[in-house]
Amino acid sequence: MLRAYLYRVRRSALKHPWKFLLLLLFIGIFVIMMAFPTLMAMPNSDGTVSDSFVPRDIDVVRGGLYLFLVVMFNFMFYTGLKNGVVGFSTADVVYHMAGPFTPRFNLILAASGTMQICVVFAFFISTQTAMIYNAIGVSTVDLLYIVFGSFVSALIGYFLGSFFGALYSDDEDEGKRNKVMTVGIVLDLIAVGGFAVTAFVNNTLLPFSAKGALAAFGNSWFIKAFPGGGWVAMIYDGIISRSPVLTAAGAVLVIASLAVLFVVYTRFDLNYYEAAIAYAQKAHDMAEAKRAGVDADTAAMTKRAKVGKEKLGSGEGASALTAIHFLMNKRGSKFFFVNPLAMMYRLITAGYLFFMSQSGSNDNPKSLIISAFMMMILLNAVVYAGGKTVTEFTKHYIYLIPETSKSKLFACLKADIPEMAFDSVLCALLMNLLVGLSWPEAIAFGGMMIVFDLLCEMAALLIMRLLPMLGKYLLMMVRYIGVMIAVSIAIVPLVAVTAITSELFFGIIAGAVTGIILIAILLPIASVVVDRAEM
Amino acid sequence: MLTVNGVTKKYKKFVANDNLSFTIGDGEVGILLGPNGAGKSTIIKSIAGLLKYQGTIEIDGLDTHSLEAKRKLGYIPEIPALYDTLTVDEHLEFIRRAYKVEDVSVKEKLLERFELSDKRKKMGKELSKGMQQKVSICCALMHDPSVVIFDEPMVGLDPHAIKELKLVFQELRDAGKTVLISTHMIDTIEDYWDVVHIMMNGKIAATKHNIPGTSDDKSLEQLFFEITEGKA
Repeated sequence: MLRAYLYRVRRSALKHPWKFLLLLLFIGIFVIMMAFPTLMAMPNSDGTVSDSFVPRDIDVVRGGLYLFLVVMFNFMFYTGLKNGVVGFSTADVVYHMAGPFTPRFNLILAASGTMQICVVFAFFISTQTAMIYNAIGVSTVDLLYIVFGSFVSALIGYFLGSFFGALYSDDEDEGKRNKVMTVGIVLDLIAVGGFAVTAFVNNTLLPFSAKGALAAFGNSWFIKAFPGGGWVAMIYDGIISRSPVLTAAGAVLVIASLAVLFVVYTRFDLNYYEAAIAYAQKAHDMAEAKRAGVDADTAAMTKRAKVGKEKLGSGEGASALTAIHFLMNKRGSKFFFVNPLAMMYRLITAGYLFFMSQSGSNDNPKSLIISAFMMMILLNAVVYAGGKTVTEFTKHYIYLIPETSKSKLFACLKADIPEMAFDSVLCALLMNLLVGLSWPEAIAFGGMMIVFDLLCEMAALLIMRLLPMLGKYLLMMVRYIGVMIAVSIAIVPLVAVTAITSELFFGIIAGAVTGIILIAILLPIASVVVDRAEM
Repeated sequence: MLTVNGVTKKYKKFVANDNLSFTIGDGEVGILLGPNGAGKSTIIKSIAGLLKYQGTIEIDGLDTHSLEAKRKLGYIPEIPALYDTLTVDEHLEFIRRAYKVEDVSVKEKLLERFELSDKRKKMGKELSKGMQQKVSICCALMHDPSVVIFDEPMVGLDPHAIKELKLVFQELRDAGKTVLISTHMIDTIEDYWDVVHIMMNGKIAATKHNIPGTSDDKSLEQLFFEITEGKA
């Protein structure tokens, strides 16, 4: 049976040799990311350290480690609980579940799928190195453990969650699933509440300081004892705080929890096939939809959308597209000018900037400004390079509508402007309140964000329409690379003018003007190219 | 009338459609019959203006990429692609407005006909594949097109919807519309076709007309297997 599975894996690898190149690329990125703190700590030729160097504070690192791993455990636990047993494809269902293989062997397949998910999450964390470094001043070894620990923590969380998800997979078991979720939430509340109370009593929380709170977090036994994430963090905590007992305790607890999970999965009378088939069907439907041109970039955001009192606004011909885009926004976020994905990213940005602004990073305002700039631009590139306008032109309806390509493109863009404008107001507020930009600078930044958002859309649209021959995976990568190149071109004058005039305001204006020029070049091309369909 | 003249479509070195030419007249139901990979969906997508190709395709004498041709065309794709968060009702309303259809009652009639009235508040993501296909059909018929093309329309439909769809084919024909259907299921087309083009390796291997009152020595099935398998 294992031979049959390995045969399939081997054949798939041979058919997609570019996956090895991608793997090498990812490993390269990972190594560079992990080396980031070491590079930052290297002295200059005159013996001084870089402006961007963030000194390492062991207590803060410990707190950060616990926080990361506990959050990762929680996130993956609830994801697993919601999804049930995942990682099966329809081919697995047909050839393995219906074939002469034991349920235990088939579970190994699910485990490999789960591990892939955890590897992807660990990789995602590794790409956030600069942010983690700026926030808590970690070393390369700390980072490696954060990534590795996140993987283990996520694995335990996901397996535990998906076990309960599979155990209570029937609709009539929803009450039991909710009970498990309640237990998880209560545990979270006990941990956070217990930590807060003890930190308050010990006066480690006040006067308020984000780094102080984080340091206190790592010293709280409520967090250390937290299942999964806390135990994994405890191993490394013992190493850096020179406490072999702590390391041993963490290791024993982690090994024990893995052993318990193994026993539970292999011995428990788990009727998971039905749940696995349901998941495989869902994954298959998504793949089919993708093949049909339905881009799933924002699919996760539509999961919670419910039909309410919102109505389709007026608009005929191409304007009907504007009306449905507004309606979809209303359904997803209650407001026509709010993009749910952009809003989620803005909250993450606000949280990060709040932490940074409270953690002493104001000592180095340049680093905070750069972090804020990069974070907002990168996240918005994800939102708008895969947004409604770009995905709209991957669906067949838009090509059939008897209107000119220009009017259809402008109708889609018209629906995006209010959400970009609202988002830019939030960006400007964050830049003023948390990063310390003056009002003129913050307002100019907000304006520049609208320009950059439009630029991302134009670049993504052109790449999608001009390079369909690349295939969906490569096209997705090229799309983001192209978007980043377009944005980078606009950033060059921003940096140059700021350096020459020593005024950030003029730099931002220069960046925005360059962006407008780029849009003026790309927009006419895009309005012609979008109608050259090749679906 | 639908006219396909010398259409060739290549994917790199693979020739999906090789110099295809055929015409489906007004009030005719044309069938593209062929095994998987014969190039049926490719020519259907080319007619819908979704692919680039060499040759010409005309809808009532208009180039398929022109706005006038788009107004006259209805297209039902093989895999329905609905908006996740729009309801059935909103999909139809969107298409009605996009095509500037004045008559609001068309929507109600289509919903009724395809038994979607009780599903009108359901979002695209909440519908089964068969239901999505029904919505797709309703959207394509909303603007009363003169040429309607169906790509594997029966897949995923329940028996009632199949029966209803067959009636739609006949009604469209009776109303003088041009209907083109791509399928690989011979038994689903037996009772309503006017002309069948059997496709093989991107080419039309044979054409058979259904002329009432004439007896043909070979059935459609016999002809199909003779071409695709090289035996009767």
